[in-house]
Amino acid sequence: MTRRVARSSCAVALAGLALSACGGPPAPPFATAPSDAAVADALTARVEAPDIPEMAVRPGLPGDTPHVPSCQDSYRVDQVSVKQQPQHDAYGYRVKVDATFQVTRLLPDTEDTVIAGPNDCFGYNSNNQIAWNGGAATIAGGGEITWRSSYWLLNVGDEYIPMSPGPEHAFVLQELKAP
Amino acid sequence: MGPMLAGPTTFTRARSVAAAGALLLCAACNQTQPPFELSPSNRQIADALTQMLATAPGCKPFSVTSARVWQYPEVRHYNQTSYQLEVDADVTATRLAPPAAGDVQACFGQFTASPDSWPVGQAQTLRVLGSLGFAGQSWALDAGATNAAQDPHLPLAAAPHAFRQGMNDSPGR
Repeated sequence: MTRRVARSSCAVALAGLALSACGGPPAPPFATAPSDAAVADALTARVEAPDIPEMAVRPGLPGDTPHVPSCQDSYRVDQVSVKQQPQHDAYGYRVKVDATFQVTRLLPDTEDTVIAGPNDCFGYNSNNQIAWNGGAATIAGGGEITWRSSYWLLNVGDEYIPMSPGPEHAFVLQELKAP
Repeated sequence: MGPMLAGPTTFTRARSVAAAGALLLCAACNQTQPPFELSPSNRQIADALTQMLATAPGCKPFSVTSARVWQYPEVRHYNQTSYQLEVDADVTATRLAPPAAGDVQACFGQFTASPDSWPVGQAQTLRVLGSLGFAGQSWALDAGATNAAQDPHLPLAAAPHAFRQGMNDSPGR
């Protein structure tokens, strides 16, 4: 069983590679998309982690805008639920990720307090709920995952996070109409 | 399996090399965006920049000792779409020769501001602006006053890493 699955994964990956090399739309092995739990962990870690080492924010120059708190400084993620949807349309193949974040605001809620924007921290389509009366809030967000020949690349906000393929699982591909 | 950034991973070197090869094949066919997740490390860029400035003809009045680098993947849509990594570097150098008009720009590039005062023997840190262009199988570092033929080339990273796209003009996320 293990050998069969491994061989199957390899064949799917090679097929994707061949299509990529020939210029056709790469067909990702959706069966090896990361698990919902792995995606949820990645989304949580992204909010709570400091800046990406290679892309750290440079020191400001005179005249630069004041420092905006990071996601890490602004929010604590209490829970994340994730729903993935493999899709194919005119733009190619990808896995749409819808996420629901239960978060707690960490900075005081005052008119003068700036916190990191929900779209930056939780991804596209986030409620633009900059301020709330302390405590917890529910924020919708997410992004998409694309196949990069041998690994998955999770895009949320302006950030891209490589992820290892997961164990094979069933999926339903959604064919979307051309926009 | 979780994100590949979090702790030890199952990504083997061979697998990463295969990934890089596949990306090269893909880029060659489709002219897709460069694999920003395979950009060189800040340390690699700093070392290449320091080495380049140490040997550049226009840098003889200076001794470059170190560089600290920040990089920002950027996609631009004007008449055509272009992709590059913006590179900012704080370069520390010591002046070896008396100041001459334009000598800072002749070494560090035309957009580098000259310090108000820079006597011989004194070290200064300058903000040098540059970029990394994807050259199919490597990244070409364009910084300082060297011409394109002198640009150092850096290899794709052995393993993918996370990246954030867009210019970070404003500090913070």
